[in-house]
Amino acid sequence: MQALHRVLHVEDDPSIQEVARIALEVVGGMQVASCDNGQAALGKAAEWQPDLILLDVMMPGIDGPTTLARLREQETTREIPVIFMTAKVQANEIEHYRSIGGLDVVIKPFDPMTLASQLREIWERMDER
Amino acid sequence: MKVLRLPLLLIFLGSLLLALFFGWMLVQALHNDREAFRRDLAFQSKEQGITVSAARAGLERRVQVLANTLAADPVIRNLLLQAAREMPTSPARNAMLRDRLRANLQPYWEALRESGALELNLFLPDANDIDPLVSMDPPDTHEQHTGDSDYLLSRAQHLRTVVFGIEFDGQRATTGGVAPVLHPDEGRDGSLVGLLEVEFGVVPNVEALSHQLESGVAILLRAGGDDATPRWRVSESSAGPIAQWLDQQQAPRVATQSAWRVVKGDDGHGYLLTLVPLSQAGDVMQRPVTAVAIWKDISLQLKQRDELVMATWLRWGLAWLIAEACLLLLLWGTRRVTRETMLAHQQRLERQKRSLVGLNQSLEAQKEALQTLNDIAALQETSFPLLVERALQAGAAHLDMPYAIANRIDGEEYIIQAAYSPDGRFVRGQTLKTSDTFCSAVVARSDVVAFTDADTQGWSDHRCRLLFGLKSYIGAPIWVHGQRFGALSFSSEQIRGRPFDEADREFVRLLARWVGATLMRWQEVEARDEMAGRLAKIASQTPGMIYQYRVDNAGNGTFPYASEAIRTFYGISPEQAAQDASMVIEAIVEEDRGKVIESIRESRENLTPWHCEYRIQHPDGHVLWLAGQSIPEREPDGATLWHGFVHDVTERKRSERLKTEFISTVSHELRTPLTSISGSLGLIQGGALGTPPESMRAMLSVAHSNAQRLIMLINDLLDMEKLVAGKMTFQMQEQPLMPLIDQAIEANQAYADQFRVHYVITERLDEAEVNVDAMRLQQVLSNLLSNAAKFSPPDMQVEVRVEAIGERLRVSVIDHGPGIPEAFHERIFQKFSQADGSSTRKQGGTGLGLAITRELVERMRGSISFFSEEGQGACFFFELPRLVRPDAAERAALTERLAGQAEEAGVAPGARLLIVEDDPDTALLLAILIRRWGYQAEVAHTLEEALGWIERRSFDAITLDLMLPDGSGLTLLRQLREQPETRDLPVLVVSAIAEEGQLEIGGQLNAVDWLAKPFDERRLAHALKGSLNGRPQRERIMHVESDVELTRRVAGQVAASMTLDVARSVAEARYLLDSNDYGLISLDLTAPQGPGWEIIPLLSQLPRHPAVIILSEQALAPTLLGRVDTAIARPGLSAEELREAFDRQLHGRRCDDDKDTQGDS
Repeated sequence: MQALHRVLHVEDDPSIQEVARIALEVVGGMQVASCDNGQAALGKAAEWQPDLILLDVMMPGIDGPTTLARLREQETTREIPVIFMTAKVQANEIEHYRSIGGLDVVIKPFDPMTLASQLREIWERMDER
Repeated sequence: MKVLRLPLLLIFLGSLLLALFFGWMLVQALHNDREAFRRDLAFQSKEQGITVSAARAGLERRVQVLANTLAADPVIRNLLLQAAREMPTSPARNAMLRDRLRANLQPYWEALRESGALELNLFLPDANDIDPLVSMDPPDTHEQHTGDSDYLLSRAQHLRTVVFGIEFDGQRATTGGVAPVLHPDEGRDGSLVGLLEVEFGVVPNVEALSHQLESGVAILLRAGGDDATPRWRVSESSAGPIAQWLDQQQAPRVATQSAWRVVKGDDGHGYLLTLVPLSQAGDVMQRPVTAVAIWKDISLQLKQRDELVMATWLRWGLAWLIAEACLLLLLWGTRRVTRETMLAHQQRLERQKRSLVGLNQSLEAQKEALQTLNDIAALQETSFPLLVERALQAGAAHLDMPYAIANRIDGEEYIIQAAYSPDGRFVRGQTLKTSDTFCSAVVARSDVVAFTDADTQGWSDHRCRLLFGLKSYIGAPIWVHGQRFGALSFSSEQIRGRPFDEADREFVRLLARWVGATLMRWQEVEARDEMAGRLAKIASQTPGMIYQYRVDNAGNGTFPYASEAIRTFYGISPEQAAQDASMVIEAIVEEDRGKVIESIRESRENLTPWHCEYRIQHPDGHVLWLAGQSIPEREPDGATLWHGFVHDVTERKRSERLKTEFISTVSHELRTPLTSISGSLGLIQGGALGTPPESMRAMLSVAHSNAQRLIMLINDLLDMEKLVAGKMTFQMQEQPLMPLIDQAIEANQAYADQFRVHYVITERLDEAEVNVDAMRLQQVLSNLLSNAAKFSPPDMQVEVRVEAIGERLRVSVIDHGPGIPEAFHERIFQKFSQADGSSTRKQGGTGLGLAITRELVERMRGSISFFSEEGQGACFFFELPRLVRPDAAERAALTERLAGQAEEAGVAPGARLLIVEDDPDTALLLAILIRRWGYQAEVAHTLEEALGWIERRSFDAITLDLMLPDGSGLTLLRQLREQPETRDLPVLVVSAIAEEGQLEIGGQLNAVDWLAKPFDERRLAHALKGSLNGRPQRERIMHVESDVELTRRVAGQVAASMTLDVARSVAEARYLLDSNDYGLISLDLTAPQGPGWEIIPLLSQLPRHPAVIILSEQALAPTLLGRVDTAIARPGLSAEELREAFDRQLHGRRCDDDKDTQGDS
């Protein structure tokens, strides 16, 4: 499998969107597309076919888990791995996101300098599996 | 009738018997008299016979002598010889001879005649009697003789001797004697020449004999009749009526013997008439031919006899009469006594009957009284006043008195409590003066007072008589709670028809007692009602429901009491709940119901307080959260009764949920902006956006680190919240410790780099394994490491040391910072505590780190502590239970060795284990494993079985399943820990819900290990081995030392056999002494400023006095230092010597302890 390159970041907070974009693009050298809601993400994902979707949980409109479910429903986006990004850090919450199909969970606040490597690590771990 | 007839019959029978008896005695007496008289007469008769016989014998002798004498006369003999020779030839000569003979005989004859001879005859031989040669008969009787002597003649001729006997010729009876006259010249054997016969009468002389015998005598001759009954005629007689008797045939009958008879004479005299019969000589038949009759006058004797008979009759008659009299007297006496007794009886019966009648009457009266009282007792009234009034009415009717009053008397105050009067004269609540009433007398006497007529019975002047006009009265005191309360009285204006008897008094007394009891009850009920009202008011104001819950032996639950809130919660009334609790149980939502039932069951079985939070479906549809708590108690019948309350915690639950949500949300909401802030700053700091200007860099750094601190604070707050709420879960796993430490150091190095601090692991223990949650341990290490780094001066190193302290692993993080001020030691693990505010800012940190760290360590069954002195740096260390894991080869060898031992012994050697496990397959598997490892194993499938085993046997360890058919294993665990014998018994919980159990039990129990199912064989083996090796407790040693090198040597020597704690400062030593009990303390006194010196004063304050060893430069005298057991000079000390000293001290100690123990026992 190829290296992780294209990441779709779905995040309603533009500041975080920006920080994450820089962290991935500048620090991690990845190609990043951003959406500020789940609905948009569905279209973008289908259209752009990213390697990975970094999905915020709490969003206006359809939230992260719902978006994931919708992605799984679409033929074109079914196979795209999703990593949740959330400020909900309680163990049961994290477990919950894993259980509904998230590849892993990245906790907010994240370290922008290591975010890319964190994603790559998860990506590779998935690869190994 | 019977009574009457019996004596008559007795009299008759007794008299008859007496008559018979005395009659018989009389007959006997008469018979005896008669016999005596007869014998007397017979004797007299015999005497007479003897006299006659004697006379006859004399006569016969004379005859014999006379005949012989005459026959011997020679003249007569010669003459007879001549006569015999010449007789036939010459009759003349004959005549001459006869004359001569006669002449010769004549003198004899004359003499013979004088003496009564009748005949003298001479016969020639062979002549017969009627033809004598010479006969000397007197002339007048000569013709009459009839030759009766033929027999005597022939006999004498034949025998040639003299013969004699009776001769009877039909006319005359004589006594004859015939003598032979022999030849005068020829002697005795000469020839017979003639015979001489002499005859006399039968007796010599009748008159003489009569005279001699003083009786009449007669010679009787036979006059015919046969031989048995001969007839007699009198031949010769003395005077007397013999002939008359013979005529009248009164003569006794005689045959051969004499006989007698009493006959009566004409003169009226009685005579004893004896007949002595005589037979003819030569008559062999002895036929009587003649008899001698003798009669003697026995009139006197007869008279005497008659008198005797009379006397006998009189005597016995008299005796009979006396006896009869006695009998009658006896009967009379008996009858009299009987009659008297009967009379007495009758009188007594009469009396009894009378008293019975009296008793019956009084019983009737009492019965009536009781009936009334019974009716009163059965009265049903809703209120006490009415009840008492009705009772009074009934009492008044019973006593036939119109007024009835029950009052309360207090001094002069008289208050009517209840009254009955047809005219309403007395009513409840009315007050009177006590002295105006007869009741004052009742009060004075404290007993019943009764009279039927006041005027005649001394009450005419009483105020009551005058005021109320009452004439008859009965009253009794009323007692309430042992105090005189008042009086019960019945009164009337009329004189009562019948006087008061004891039954009436008793009735009033009892009724007064009943009234007293009723008043008492009344007061109690009022008090209870008041209490109940108060309770109900309180209960109604209490949030939640107060209740009593009862479960009987059959398991049926009821709510004997439930406050009104039960309606709000469950929609049922307290009365319904008192009947059946099932509606309450059914209201619990299904998911929680099992939990509630189980908690009640456990509380009931173990009598432990019940606590439970659960949800119920309210009748109106919504769900309520309830929290209940109650305390059970066992009732005598085995039922269980809880007292407690249930309250609505829906709000609390909601707020809890809201709080959780709030925290989650707040955390989220804080994190979101922080993400941007710290992200941005991170990017800048990280140089992703180029190098910021130098002037900004410092500020950016401040912003970044504070952003980081904020994140940490939020994280710590969340952690703390979870820990406090008990919601943090631990993923406990067995794993090697060192990799976790390496990882932590690596992860924290970047942070430490900020402070130019380096982490150094000074001691490693690569084989050490622990059972921890890796992530939480990271958090712990991270906390300690970051703290150490933060507080270290730059360019210093933070030492990390991993060492085994007995069964535990100690991880120490040592910094060389400013240390922790003494004043802060106590608060260091508290929340939001930092040594000072300024350092907080300088050093960063949330103030929650150590609090969280301690929580985490303790949740993983570890402990955390520190020691520090200001300016000396600090050492934080935590200890975790060490897992002993032999490597595969070692384990195989062990198994083999144990198996070998087992085979040798034939049984499983070593420790005995109890397996408590309900699943038979699991139990079997456990038993096989455990036995394979060389232990003995017993299996219990239920709690009850397990308790049975523990009671019977001692076990070295227990494996315990938590879910058992008859309860939770935790119950058993708690029980074991409550018993002193099993308090330290190692328990290995092997359960699918081990973690939940662990959470529930908390950290309070020692010697418990937890193992989740499905269990790992290897893990089980270690746990068991660990548990069993833990016993007995190894000796614990504290070594106080500042020199690292020596510490290492001591530890190397003793750690294998003993548990060694090393204290490097006074504070650390103090800390250790506080938390542990040491058998031995060694102090290093080589350095003059070393901590050992300061420990010495502490030693005397310890509860247990440990052995003390000091190590010093010179050999110090132990006494100098107080209580020191051994002083060793340090220079040249070898490891072996050191260990020996330790062993010696410990051993010596133990012996002393043993001795003490023995001494105590």
